[in-house]
Parts: sequence; structure tokens; C-alpha cells
Amino acid sequence: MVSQTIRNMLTSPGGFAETQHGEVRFPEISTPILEKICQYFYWSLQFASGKETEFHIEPELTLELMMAANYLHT
Amino acid sequence: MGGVCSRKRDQPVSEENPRRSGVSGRYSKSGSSKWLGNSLSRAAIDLQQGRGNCPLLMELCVRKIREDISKYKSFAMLPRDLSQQIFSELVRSHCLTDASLHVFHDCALQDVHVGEYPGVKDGWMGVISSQGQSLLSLDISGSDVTDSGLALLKDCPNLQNLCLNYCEQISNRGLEHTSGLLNLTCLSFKKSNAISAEGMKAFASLVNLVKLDLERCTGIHGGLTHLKGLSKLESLNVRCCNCITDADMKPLSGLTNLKELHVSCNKITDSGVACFRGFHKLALLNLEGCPVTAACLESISGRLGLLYLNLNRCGLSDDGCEKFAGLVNLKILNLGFNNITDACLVHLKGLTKLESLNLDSCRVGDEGMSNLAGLLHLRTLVLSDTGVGSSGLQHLSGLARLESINLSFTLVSDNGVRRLSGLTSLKSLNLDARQITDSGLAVLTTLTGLTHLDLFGARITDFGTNYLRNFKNLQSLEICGGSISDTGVKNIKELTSLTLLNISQNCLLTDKTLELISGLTGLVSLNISNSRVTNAGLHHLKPLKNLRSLSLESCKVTATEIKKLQLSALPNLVSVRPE
Repeated sequence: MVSQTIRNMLTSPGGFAETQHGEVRFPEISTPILEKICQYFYWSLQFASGKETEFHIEPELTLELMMAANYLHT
Repeated sequence: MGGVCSRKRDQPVSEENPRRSGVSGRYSKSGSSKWLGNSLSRAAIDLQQGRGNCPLLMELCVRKIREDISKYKSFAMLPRDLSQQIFSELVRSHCLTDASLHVFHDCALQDVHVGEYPGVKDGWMGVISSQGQSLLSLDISGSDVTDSGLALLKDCPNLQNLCLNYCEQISNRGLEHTSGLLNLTCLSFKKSNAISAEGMKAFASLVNLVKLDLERCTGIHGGLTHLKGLSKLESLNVRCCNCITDADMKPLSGLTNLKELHVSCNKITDSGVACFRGFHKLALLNLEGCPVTAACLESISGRLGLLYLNLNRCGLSDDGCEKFAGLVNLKILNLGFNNITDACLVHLKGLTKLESLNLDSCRVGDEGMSNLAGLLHLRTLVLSDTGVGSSGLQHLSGLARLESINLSFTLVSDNGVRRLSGLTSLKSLNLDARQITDSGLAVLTTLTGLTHLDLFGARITDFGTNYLRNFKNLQSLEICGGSISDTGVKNIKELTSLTLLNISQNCLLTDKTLELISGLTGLVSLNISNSRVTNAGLHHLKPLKNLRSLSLESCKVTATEIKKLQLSALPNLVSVRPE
């Protein structure tokens, strides 16, 4: 799992909807940013298996992406 | 950066490394190994950052922002922990400039640590002070900030830590501006020669001050009186001010919360130390180089909290040394370069909690060593330049926790060295003495945990190097007696943990040696001066990518060829001989 926040959402005890349905929503993260985050998850998997490419970040997304990354602990 | 003023509190008394306070660089041996202490640690940190696993998205974003920094106008809308990360990254990578600084205007940063950062001047203080009430810690050490730049700090009333070391432009007038920073707990002004007693009036209002550092401020005589009311003060450093007298100590006598006091290299005598009577919490006292006698111990006798006492170079004699006996909780005691004899050591017998004892160049000998036999917690013992010989060592053979022993320039012989063979905790051994030979080394092969071995002047031959194979963990080795040839180096090339190797003064060594050690890729420092190494052999050093210091003085090697090697293969090389 690459995001500590998502891990916690899916595994915390206490019968939360996220845990029961195996589904989390991020209404406050915009679609392009969420897409970029998914790309990062995929990229980091490849990185871990030895394929060390560069992860491209569009300059106009950087700040918003950084805030989302901070929120997701990733 | 900003190591002095870190916001962490409740840190234990900093027990100085006693090996550092001794005599380093006394012999002009590998000068390189002396500065490595500092620069090595920095290199190690850089390496850690370089490796690591997959970078976090956070890190990638911060790096990207660093690259595009010129495109941003302001980070004021970012949460402050994020702008803080960007700021720290720019400082770390030396990318923060006059031009990029303005994006941090009004970012509510808590830490601005730009100590020793190039180009910091008054022009930066506008952005720094715009952090306003958020700013908690500021380090502008070594900057060109002046008194008027400092005036802007009135906008930052919550500052807790302020580091202004080596700021040559700051004078008494600048100090006035700090007097309103009532939340300051830690203030550091190392080597500020423009500060005098007059300016120190400003300190009187800083009632929350816990730590004050005025090391090497040479004009502050008479100023300590303004500290009188700072009852929360726990740590005061006026080391090497060279102007502090007994009269300066009197106003301090009411500061009963003092735990750490550094007054070394000043003009303090026994009557100055008498002012410390009320310091019941004192854990660290550094009087190195002050003209005190053992009679001063009277004033601190029975201080059960005292853990660290430095009386190096005080000119003590045996008179009054019986007072040591009461300091039963001492962990670190430095008595180097005093006129004390075995008679003094009798009074150390009961200090069974001692972990470090320095008797460098004292007039002690074999007989006195019997008093150290019961100091079973000793980890570090310095006996260099003393009269200790082989029969003295027999008393030390039970010190099972000993990790470091310095026997350089003692009378210890090959036969006496045998007494050390059971001290398997030893990591560092200095046997730099001419009478030590191969047979001395032969009896030490049990010490397989050794990481540092100094045989600088010992007469070790190629045959003796066979024993080095037992010390597989060696990180530093100095073996410069003159009798080692390429044949002996064959045994050294197996020691793959080595980071420091000094085999200078062995004039038989040839280019073959360079070839042999080319596999020691961990080497950071290498000295093969005074040998037959030539330009033709230099290419063998190309695999030594970690090398930071290379010394090949008095060899058939030219500065130009070393420069070529440095540019083509050794990017980390910072110190080179010949230049």
C-alpha cells in the first residue's frame, strides 16, 4: 500500500463504511489530481521492481498535487 | 544547519567526546584524519539521502517546485508545513537566492535555518520577519546581517531560538533589538567580537532564557552581571572568551538552575569557582585552561549530580586532589596536561561510575594504574605521554568494557601489550610507540572488534602485517614505521572496511601498492606520502570513488596529474597533497 491514509481508511476498526464496502471517496481532490496520484501509485510499483524512470509532473499541477500527497501521506 | 539551536528540549547534558578535547594534531602525522571528523559526518548524510527506496510523491513534488522555483510568485496560500518543506529543500540544495526568497513572504514559517548559507544579508530580513508570530527558530549564523536588519525581528515576538554566531556586523546596538524577544529560550552569539558589557544589558529582560552561548566573545568582560536575574538559565557557555575573570562569576552565583557551565580558557581562579557553591544541579563543568588549583574542588565537592568535569591544562598538582573522591557520580573526567602524579590517582579509586578518563601527559606511572583497576565502567582511557609501562597494564586487564585506549608515547613494550589481549570490547587502540614491534601485534589478534588501530611509529614489518588479517572490522589504520613494502600491503588489501589508511613514511612502497589497494573502495582518506609512488600508478586509484582526501607528498607525483585524476574519476576529492 503506497498511501498510509488510504490504508487507515480501509483497515481501521469500528465499522466505518469505507472498511465495510472496501471503497473510499475523495470529494475534495479534483479528478486530474486523483488521476495523477493513481499514475504515481503505478509508477512507484514499477520503481520498486527496478524500473527506475522519471515521474513527470506538470508544473501547473505541482502545488495541488503536493497538497493531496500531503493529505494521503504518500 | 542551526544545530546549536534545535527546538528539542530536555536534552541530556552534552557529554563532549573526551577524545576531541585532548591533543589532536599534535604530531604532524596524517593531518587529513583530523578534519575528517567533521566533514565525514556530512558526507555520510548526503549518501543516505542519495540512496533510499522509492521517493514519496511529496518529495517528487518538492523537487519539482525547486526546479521551477522561478515560475512561482508566492507560497503564502500553502499550508505552512508545506511551504516549510519547500523552504528547507531550497536551503538544503543551495537553491535559495535573493530572487527566489520573496515567494516565502508571509508564509508563516516556523523555522528559518540559513546559518552559514551564502548571501544572507539585511535584504533577507524583510521576508524572514514577515513570518511574524509564526517564526519560532531563526539561524542566520555567519551572515552579513547588520544591526538594522536585526531590528526587524520585533515583528517576531514568539521567537524561541535565535542563532547569530559569527555575525561580524552585529554590535551592541543590534543586541538592543533582541531585548523585546521575551520568549527566547535559546540564544547563541558565538565569536561576536563587537559585543561588550554595554550591549549585554539587553539580556536582562530575557527571563525565559534557558541556554546562552557567548563562546569566543572576547569583549564581554563585565557583562555577565546582566544575567543575574535569568533564573531559568540552565546552560551558559563563555568558553574561550579569554576575558572572563573571577569578578564576572560573582553575579552568576544566584543562577541555581545552572546545569552546564563552560568557562574554559578564561582567567578564572579558585575564588571564581567559589561562586559555584550554590549550583546544586550542576552536571557539567568545563574549566579547561583556567588557572585554578585542586583547591577549587572544595567549592564543588559533594556535587552528586556532577557527571562531567574538565580540568585539562589547568596546571593542577596533587595538593587538594583528595576532593575528587567525593564526586562519586562522575562519568567523564579530563585531567590531561596537569602535574598530577600517582598520588592523585589514589583519590580516583572510588569513582566507579567513570566511563572516560583522560590522563594525557600527566606524571603518572605504573604504580598509579592499580587505582584504576576497579573502574569497571571505563570505556575510554587516555594514557599517552605518561610514564605507564608494561607492569602498569596488568592492572588494566580487567577493564572488560574498555572500548578505547590510547597508549601512544608510553613505555609499554611488546611484552606488556599481552595484558590487553583479553579486552575484547576494544574498538580503538593507539600503540603509536617506537618500541612496539611485530611481536606486540602478534599477541593482540584476539581483539577482532577493533575498528581503529594506530601504529604510526611502531616498528611493524611486512611479516607483522599478517596479523592485521584478524582485524576485519578495521575502519582506520595508521602504520608508518618505515618498514612496510608492497608485500605487506597485500595483507592490508583484505581489510575492506577501511575508510582511512595512512601508510606514509614507508619509503619502499611503489606503484604496486596503489594497484593492491584499488579494491578498498570504502576509503575516504589515503596517505602514502614519502614513498616511491609515481604518476604512472595514479590510475589505479580510479575505483576509490569515496576518496575525499589524498596525500602523496614527497613522491614522484605532480599536482597536475592528481588534478587530472580528480577531474576524471574522483569527484569527492576535496583535499589533495601536493596541491
